[in-house]
Amino acid sequence: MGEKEVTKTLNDYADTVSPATLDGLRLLGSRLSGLRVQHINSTKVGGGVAEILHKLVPLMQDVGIETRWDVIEGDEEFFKFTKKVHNALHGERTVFEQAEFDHFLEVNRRNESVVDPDADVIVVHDPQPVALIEAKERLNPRNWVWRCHIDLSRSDAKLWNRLSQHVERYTASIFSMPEFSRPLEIPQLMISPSIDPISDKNKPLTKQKVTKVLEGFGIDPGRPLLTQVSRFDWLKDPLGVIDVYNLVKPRSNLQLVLAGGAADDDPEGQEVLAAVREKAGDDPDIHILNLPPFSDVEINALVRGSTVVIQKSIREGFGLTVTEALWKKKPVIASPVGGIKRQILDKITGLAAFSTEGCAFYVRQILNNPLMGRRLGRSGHAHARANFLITRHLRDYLLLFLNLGSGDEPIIYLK
Amino acid sequence: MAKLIQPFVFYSEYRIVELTGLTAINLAEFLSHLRSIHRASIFYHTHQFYFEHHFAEDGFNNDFAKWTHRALHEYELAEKLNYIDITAFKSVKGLRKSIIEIVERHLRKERILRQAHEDEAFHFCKSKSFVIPSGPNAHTLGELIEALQVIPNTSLFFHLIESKLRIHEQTYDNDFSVWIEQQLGIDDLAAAVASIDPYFRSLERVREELLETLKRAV
Repeated sequence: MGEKEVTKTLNDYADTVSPATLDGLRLLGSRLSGLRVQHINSTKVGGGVAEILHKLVPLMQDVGIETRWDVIEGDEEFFKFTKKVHNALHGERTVFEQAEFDHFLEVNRRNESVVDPDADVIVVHDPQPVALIEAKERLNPRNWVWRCHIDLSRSDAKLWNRLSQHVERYTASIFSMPEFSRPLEIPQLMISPSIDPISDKNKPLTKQKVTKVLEGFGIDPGRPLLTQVSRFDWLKDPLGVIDVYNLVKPRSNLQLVLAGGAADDDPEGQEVLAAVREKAGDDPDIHILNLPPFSDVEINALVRGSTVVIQKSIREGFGLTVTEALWKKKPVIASPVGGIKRQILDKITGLAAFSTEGCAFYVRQILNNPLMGRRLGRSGHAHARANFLITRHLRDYLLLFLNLGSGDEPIIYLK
Repeated sequence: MAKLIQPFVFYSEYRIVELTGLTAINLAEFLSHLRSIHRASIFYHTHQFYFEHHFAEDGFNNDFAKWTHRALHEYELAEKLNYIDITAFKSVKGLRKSIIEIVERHLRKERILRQAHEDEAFHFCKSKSFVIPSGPNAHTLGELIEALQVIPNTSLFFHLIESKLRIHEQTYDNDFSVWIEQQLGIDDLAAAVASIDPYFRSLERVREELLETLKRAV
């Protein structure tokens, strides 16, 4: 399995993005020289936010911004509550006790010491540390930005009413898509998430490496392969993916990979995994891979070795697994939910399907028309390159910093 | 005495997208927002395809046409909105007026106000641009040609499209044609450069045509 990746600088991207892209980042960075920025979230490991910050913070430093990243500490009760908050913001019906809110605020107060009093901009990620803003006047009265990585469109109204009281005190907020936001009095900006094209999960691999990984999992590299990469979660509809495979199988010699992780401490994940195994039965062409952490190279190889990638989610955040497949020039069939709608421009960068039958039809179409798959793959790659790479993400943050305090004019000239 | 030529100064443009919080699920709401929304929103939604997927040929030249087609299934209206010739406008003000007139005309003859699914609401965004000098300056046609081969797309977009519609607002011409006419005094070349339509191809293809036009004049 893979090892921890080394920190990267802009120069490391020279073979992947255009010189103009890197020059632009340095140009913007030069206008922000000396700026001091602090990111605050609730974990350094696991989850998409930590993964992105591990990449972005060194790149911000590389363009001349003094950037630090701190995390708040909480007890089990706090994180149990914030998990409930996360689910309720995603639309799950949840009952909250006043004592839980009190404890949430108390933990935020206890963490006030993480706030950098000299930072020009403090970027607070997601709801866990959102109430740190209450110490703004005392600790740092400058610019505070709330970066929300969650789709709030179906959020519990009562909960959002409470959280938004904190959010409204920020200088600005950031959402991944317009559809994810809620009405707020403060400015709202859109910054899409991103993938790192030179990370273990996305870097180019030799054909030999891909073949070796596939064969290591008992997959025949010479036969068509349908793959979904996702944690084992009902919302990713892994049983539906098996239904798609079962529809297509009699007409092809298709193989299926369901690759993901199910943490030992996640009872639901274990339940989903068990159901998936039961449904797969003893079909030797269905490969259920419950991969350990740091399996990035293996996941990279599985996607690169696939004929078609599917993402049959019922609900989705931004869906970076789709971005990763697009980047690898794979034809992607996906449900048009959440951020997938921004990624899959139907029939151009991928295929949007609403049902098992729709997915199965497109799988058969691509198996029988490899040229179509290649065309979709090329467009998908171009879409990912233009919009969802970490270099674009960095540029958006630099523009955010320039934007703070720049007034309402729609065009700003910088000397 | 020879005229002192002002150099062509290249700028690059970078934009951040702001959410306005305004949404529409039918044409009445859509029209109401079109009338009042900041002109930066009109510019964003008529040029977003360039920002995000200019390589894709999905048949839509602007977000308004795409939404009325896909979310409202108002196909005739979508085609009319799609056919708006942005090169025919000097400013976003005129462009907005034209869009509003098309929607108003459609609403006058349609009896049913179609509703989009709530997941398909139109979300009005707007872009804010940061413009930075990005050199090298050009003093001659040769230097302009040389620079045009290397400048980033962000610079090409600014000088061909954004500068005209959002800054000068007084000419149908782009920055290159204005400079060629005013500084170099080559009127026929300026007219040829002004006639380049940047809206039906990728910026790379537009760059090729611009370079071919200029090279023919050298």
